[in-house]
Amino acid sequence: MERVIGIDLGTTNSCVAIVEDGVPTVIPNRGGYKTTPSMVAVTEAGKRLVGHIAKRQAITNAENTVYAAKRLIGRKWSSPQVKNAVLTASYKIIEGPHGDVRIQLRDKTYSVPEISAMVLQEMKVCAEDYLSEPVSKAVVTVPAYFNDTQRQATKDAGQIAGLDVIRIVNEPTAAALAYGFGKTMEKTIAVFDLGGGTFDISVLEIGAGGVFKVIATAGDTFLGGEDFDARIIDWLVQGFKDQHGVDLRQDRMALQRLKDAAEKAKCELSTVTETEINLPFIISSGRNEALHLQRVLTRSTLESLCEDLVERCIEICKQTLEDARLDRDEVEDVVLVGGMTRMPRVQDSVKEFFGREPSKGVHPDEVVALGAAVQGSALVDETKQMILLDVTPHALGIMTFGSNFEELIPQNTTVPTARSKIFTTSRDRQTAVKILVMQGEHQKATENELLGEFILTGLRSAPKGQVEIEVTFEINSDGIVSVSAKDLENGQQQSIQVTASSGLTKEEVGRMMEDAKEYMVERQSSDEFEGLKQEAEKLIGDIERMFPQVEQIVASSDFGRDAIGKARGIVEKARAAIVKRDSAAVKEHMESLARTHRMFKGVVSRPHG
Amino acid sequence: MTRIPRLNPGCDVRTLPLTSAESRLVARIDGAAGEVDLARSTGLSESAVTAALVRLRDLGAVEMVEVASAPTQPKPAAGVASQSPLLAPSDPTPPWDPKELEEDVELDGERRRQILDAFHRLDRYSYYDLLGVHELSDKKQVKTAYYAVAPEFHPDKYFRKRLGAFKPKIEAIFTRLTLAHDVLTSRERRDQYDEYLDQLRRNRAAESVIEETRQDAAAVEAAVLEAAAGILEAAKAQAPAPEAVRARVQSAQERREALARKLLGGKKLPPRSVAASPDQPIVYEAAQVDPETMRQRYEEALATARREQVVRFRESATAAVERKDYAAASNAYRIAASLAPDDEELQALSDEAEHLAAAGLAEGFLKQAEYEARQERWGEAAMSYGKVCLGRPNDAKAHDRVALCTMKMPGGNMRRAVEFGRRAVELAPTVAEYRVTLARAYIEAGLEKSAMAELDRAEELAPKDAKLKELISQTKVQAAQRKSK
Ligand SMILES: Nc1ncnc2c1ncn2[C@@H]1O[C@H](COP(=O)(O)OP(=O)(O)OP(=O)(O)O)[C@@H](O)[C@H]1O
Ligand SMILES: [Mg+2]
Repeated sequence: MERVIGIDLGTTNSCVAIVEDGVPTVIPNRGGYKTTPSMVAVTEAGKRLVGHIAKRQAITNAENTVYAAKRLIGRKWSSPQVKNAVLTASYKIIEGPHGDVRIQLRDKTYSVPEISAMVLQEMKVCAEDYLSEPVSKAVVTVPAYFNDTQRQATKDAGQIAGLDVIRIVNEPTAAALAYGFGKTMEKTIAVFDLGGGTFDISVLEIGAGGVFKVIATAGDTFLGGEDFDARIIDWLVQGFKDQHGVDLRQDRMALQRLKDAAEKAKCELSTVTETEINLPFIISSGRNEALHLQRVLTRSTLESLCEDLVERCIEICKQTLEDARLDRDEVEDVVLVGGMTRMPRVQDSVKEFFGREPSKGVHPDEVVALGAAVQGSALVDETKQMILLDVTPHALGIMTFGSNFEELIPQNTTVPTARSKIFTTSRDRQTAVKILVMQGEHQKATENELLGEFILTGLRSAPKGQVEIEVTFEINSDGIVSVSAKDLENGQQQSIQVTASSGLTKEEVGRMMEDAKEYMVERQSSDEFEGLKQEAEKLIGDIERMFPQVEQIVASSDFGRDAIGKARGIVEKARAAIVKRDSAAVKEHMESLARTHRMFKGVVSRPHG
Repeated sequence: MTRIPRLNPGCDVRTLPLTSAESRLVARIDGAAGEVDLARSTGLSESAVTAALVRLRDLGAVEMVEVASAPTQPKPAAGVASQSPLLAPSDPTPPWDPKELEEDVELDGERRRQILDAFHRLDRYSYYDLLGVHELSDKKQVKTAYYAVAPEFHPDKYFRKRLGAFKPKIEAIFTRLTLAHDVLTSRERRDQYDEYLDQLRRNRAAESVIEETRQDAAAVEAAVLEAAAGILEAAKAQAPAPEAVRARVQSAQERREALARKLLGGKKLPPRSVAASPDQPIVYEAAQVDPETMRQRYEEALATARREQVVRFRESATAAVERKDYAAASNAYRIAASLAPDDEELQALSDEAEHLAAAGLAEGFLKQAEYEARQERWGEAAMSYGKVCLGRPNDAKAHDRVALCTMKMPGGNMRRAVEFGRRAVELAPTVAEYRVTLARAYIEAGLEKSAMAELDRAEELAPKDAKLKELISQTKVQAAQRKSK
């Protein structure tokens, strides 16, 4: 049975896990870290960097380092969230060809799924290194409150990365799977997940026999650690302006340093009550003098800066319990997920709201990936007795007369689910019907997310009302929407194409996949080169060390002198190949190097004299 | 010694006109629980339990058994051990085409059979039956039952398997199970569903009582005749009643008693007369009675039998009226009236009871229809609203609703929609809303001109209602579009 990895593709950090001998395990990256920053950069030399190395060079290469791409995935260029990101991000966000979002890194533009794919690819490689076997199947998590477009785009990212994403799982649900894994219990729990970019709350029931049933879920896909950081940055920028009359926002590098410092201060304030932010030479004033930023941030200031953010989380919790028709005391355990739940103010608010101490049993950074791995193994392994019943976070409907929203599948409906509706022609000889599919909770259709529109075509030309088409709206276990139509008269399946208004086309995804594969080949060969180089350098080193001794022994013969000359030639050629990073050439010389090495060894070990 | 109620296996409680308290009680009767236990488990008072048990016994649903002592250990609550019938072994005579088994899919034969069985039985079960729980099972028991059955029909169980036509079936089963779970675990939705089930049963029972009246009346008449004939023949034979007559008398009597049980709805049987029970010896007269006297006696016997039956049925009708069981009352009155065709008072009473029964039935069907409409089961709702109209021929709204639901159901008969829409407008000519419904029905039926006329009038009637106005103008656009093409 092929192994399935679970990937938590986070806004700030990503994590990969696998079920090994029945035990869910996090796979560390090459640096030994269990999580990898979701950052991607392109260096001046055009080299692609992902993860920790990308993060380390972010300050000096701010414009070409992407962070928090997840906040942009599946969003329209025209959305307020993107507008806001354009203003605050240190990298360049531009409009794509489908009204979608692209990111400019040096001379190339990338779609957001492509950026996410780079992170996914990194996680895939981590897993392959760890398992020493190729991996192609993955379960990838998304915030529960992601809509169809965002899910679709995440799936695209997986495909671009060369992964068969067998299931998209909601992050809090995955956390619950890991929490309940291997235990027998019947319990109602709440998962409170505040990460770098998004907030999710889910209420679940864990039933006997490994059934996990989500009762209600809600969240905010634009509420997370990034927003807490932004508050600190605002505070710093404003203070600096008041003091020096200089706007730090104009300088991308300064902004990146501020961002770094803000996050660091925020994390520190989870353990201490006061911290100093010290950024020397942050910018130069108009008179060419260097200015420094130095300020003390206290925990209570931070808390007051971010009070409303925490309140928003609690508001959403309240609403979710109402939707679940549960009283607070019916929730038997609260699980905290996401780095931001380390903030004491967040913990206190959760505790106060649910009236109980949150569970300490899970690791907030790893539990989501572990759950994804658990779900992956349950899906492919028939002997596993675990079933996940998740819900759709958004209502699905269509636009009707007067741009009203007609709900077809309500929020919090267990998926997979389907709903059929019969459409009929309203004019004589009408041969096409247009249907707008939307997702959201608003009465007014225009307030909701337009997933796409489709046109039923090729209808029989007949008097009005005579042609009836049954359209089935489906939400699958990934939370992804599909639509199919049947002509009721002849039972013929109508093919319809829902063109997501901001997604990538099939062709684009295909092309991006090819690009990504090329990169893999490139990357693999460079890995290979590094290996060859090491091996060759070791041989060269040994050979050079033996030269004086060998020379002494064989210098007397012509043959010996000739051999020494040849050996020098081989070493030089190999050196040149290494300098040129030409792995094929290095490989070519490897054999002669090894031969020379053997020969030299033989000479020096022979008794002489 | 304690008395323990047991369910009578021969009786289908579903067909009985039970109140919700009574059905709850029935659900808790497990052959071990005594009256005190039942009171505890149903939340009813002990006296209420006793009263309900008496009625249930009279209806033939339960029998009381004397046992040596009360069971000391309380039995586990009902509903724990049971399981969904969908997990039970297959039907011996499956309602599906065996060809369906032959599809080329990645499922073993047993699974295929299980899925087909489950799918084709879905509509047979109430939500309770579907999950294999009792009407009194609590939330936790419902959940446990759901968790036991739902994974068997979750598509993930067959992840990436080729399922062909089995796929939509598995999904339909899963969706229904989940609906049952969702309804039964939400206080509000479950209350509504219980009410609906109660209503459905009561409506069915009441309907069948009324439908059977004619048959019942004939049975009573036959019983009367037979009783009289029995006397006559017995006398003729100048001997103890021969087996044949005894048998006939007995069978007539049994039928009558069964009928009486049904009509009286739990009241004690009135004293038997005329045809005495076989174990009470009938006093037969000596021989040598001349035919004429015999005939007279027979007539007398017949008249007495009739009178007594009339009295009986009147009594039971009055009792039924007191219970507000107008269906039973109407039935009893009708039988009484048929036995005494000259009694005008009785005829009037019968008519009134019938009227009340129809109205009561309409009330019941209205509740049923409203629930069905809320669940968007348009076809069923249209039917139920139609039955409301039978009892309330002057109820405009009910007629309007028939039209609306008919339009919404797939394959609805538009002529029927127009017919009911028209009647609604006739009954309440000033209600704009009904005119809009009618107009829409007209459009569906291809009668745009009439639709336009209705809409014009609706507009005059409702100049203030913005929402309605918008609807009217939209409908007008629709009508105009259709007309122009
Ligand atoms: N000790 C800490 N105190 C406060 N905040 C912290 C702490 N540690 C990490 N964080 C914050 O948590 C966030 C990252 O959390 P996490 O890794 O769970 O997010 P993510 O999974 O990448 O994002 P998301 O789930 O929203 O997509 C960052 O904003 C980080 O600053
Ligand atoms: Mg996360």
